[in-house]
Amino acid sequence: MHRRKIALRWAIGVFFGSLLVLTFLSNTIQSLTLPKVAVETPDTGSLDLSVDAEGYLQPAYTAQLIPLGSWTVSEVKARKGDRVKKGDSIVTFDTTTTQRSLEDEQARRKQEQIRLEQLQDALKLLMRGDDQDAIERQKRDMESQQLSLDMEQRKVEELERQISDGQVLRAPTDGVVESLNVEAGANVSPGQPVGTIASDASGYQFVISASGDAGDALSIGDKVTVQVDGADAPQTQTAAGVRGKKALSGPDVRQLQGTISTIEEGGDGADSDAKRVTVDISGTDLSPGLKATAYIPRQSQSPGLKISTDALKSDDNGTYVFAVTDKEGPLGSSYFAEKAYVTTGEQTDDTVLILNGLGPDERVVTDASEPLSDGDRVRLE
Amino acid sequence: MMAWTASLRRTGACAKLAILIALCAATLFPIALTVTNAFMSEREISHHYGALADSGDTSADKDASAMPTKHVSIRWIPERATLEAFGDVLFNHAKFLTLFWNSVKLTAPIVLGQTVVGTLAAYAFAKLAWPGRDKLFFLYLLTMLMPFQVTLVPNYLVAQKLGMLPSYGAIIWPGVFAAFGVFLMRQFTAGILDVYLEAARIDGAGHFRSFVHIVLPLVKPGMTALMLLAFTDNWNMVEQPLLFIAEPFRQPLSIYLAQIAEGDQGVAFAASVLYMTPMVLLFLYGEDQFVEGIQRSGVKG
Repeated sequence: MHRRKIALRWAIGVFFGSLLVLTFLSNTIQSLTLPKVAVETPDTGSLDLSVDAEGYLQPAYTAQLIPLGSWTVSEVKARKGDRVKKGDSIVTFDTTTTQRSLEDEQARRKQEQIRLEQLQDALKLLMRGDDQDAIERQKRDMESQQLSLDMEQRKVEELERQISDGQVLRAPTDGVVESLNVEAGANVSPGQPVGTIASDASGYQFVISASGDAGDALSIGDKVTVQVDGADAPQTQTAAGVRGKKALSGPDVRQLQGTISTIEEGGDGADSDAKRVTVDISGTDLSPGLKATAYIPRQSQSPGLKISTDALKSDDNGTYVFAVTDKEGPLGSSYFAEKAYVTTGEQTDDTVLILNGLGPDERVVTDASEPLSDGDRVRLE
Repeated sequence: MMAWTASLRRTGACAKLAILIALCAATLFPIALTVTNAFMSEREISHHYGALADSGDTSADKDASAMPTKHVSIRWIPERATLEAFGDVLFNHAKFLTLFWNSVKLTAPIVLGQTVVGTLAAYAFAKLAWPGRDKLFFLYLLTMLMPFQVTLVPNYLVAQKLGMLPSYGAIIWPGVFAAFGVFLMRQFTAGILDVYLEAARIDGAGHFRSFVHIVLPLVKPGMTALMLLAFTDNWNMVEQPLLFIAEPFRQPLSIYLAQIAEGDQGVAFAASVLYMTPMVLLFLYGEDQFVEGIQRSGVKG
């Protein structure tokens, strides 16, 4: 009887003891098997659909510098990046070759002139007789000779014009020398551009990419605030076209007003739904290659809860997120992931606006160590 | 004539035995079934007891066409004995452990308190002479005669007045001062011969000394009986926690067993076995004293 009592005492002790140990370890056991999730609490407010993108200024119109003859460059008067006024000389040529052909042509014109005079003398002789046919023939020869003389005259004039106009290559427009690919001594041929000048008058443009609903919200003609870094000229000279306050980020930053001129599908990446947006800006003292930052402020139409797009999932019934609910217990809180179907609003690359279906205090699962299903118990990271 | 009487007595004894065996089998049947089924896998349990879970939803049951009427097939022997269900209860149902300790937290103070109060009150009722003693004891007994469901509402109102709702206090305090403990212990204490106490008094012992050194050792079997009965009573309580405790995770295990059958049935058998284990162990431990106690007090178990 006594031994039985001892055995029973042991059994009771072991039973309660093992349950105590299991209770002590229960959270540990569970946390080993539960999926681990990362959560975030949504921010309330409107979604910022502002576009903030950078691009580099390109001239809207570029004038080409084309020499008129096959000459040798004698002097390059401007350098790449120089600001030039219309009519400023940029390249001068050695026009000796053309000069020589001009002299040849002038001599040829003289020859034609002499031949015409000879025909006139011969006509005078014929006029004394009355061979009407011969007179007529002589007159036609003279006419033809006159035409040859005119042609020669035009050749001479053309060469003269080439020399006077082409000897100095001048800037066709106000602007900045964008490229100049000749140096003294180089040979050029007519029709082949030796450089380009970015026209000031035509303004500048740059391309940015805007994705998601922020891109969709843009339309052609929208006004855009553009910040241009490192304009050549000092701030005091900026005048027309410069609006808005000066940016605080440095003395070399200016704010200009731009306009969206084109919007095209297709951004940089193949998979992205980004749009290529071209913004025109005009202003003095702009030059190609300056960094421009476009800022297009825009808020979503209605406020809602902002969550990460990672949290958004969808199935046959619609779009949902996993919201984490907790149940208090003496063994600590336990967390459960529950499906919450939501109505989504505007969306950017990383944030989506939830209009309906979610409370502001709910925690939303953004990442899980394994696939979740509705009602799964989880542990928080 | 003698032979006839003897054979009649033997037949009577056989009949008595048969009736007792039948009653015993009927009593043990659910317990044995619970224990054996606790070793079945979840799949096996839901196969045999699936009809219980469906609760009239005929469209959901694919076997409905094959079986003319749905029925529960009672199986004694598991196809493959496994401890799966026990593991499931202990490792995956943290709620089971929580509620188990809730039960302990509720039951232990009641059992201990009732024993202390009962023993002390019994000494006063049985061994001290004071005016109105028997009338007061009679009043006390009256509360015991009423089913506790009747006193549940006044109980609730008093607990509310005392600001004990919702808390374990609302269950523990009425349990500690339950009339049954006082009654049982009085029967015991009354059985102690007065000469012992007189002898002690002559030797100079006060009430406290007589109580501790004479009464307590003599009523030990009674205390064991009271503890076991009180433990069983309160370990199994359902109504009070439903009424007095709001949060589900603070409910005792007895409530959990009522909820568990909804979902996983395999777990229910294992949880039941674990649920009755402390009762069985404690009973076996105090068995001889318990039997002696019940016999001496004249109370049926």
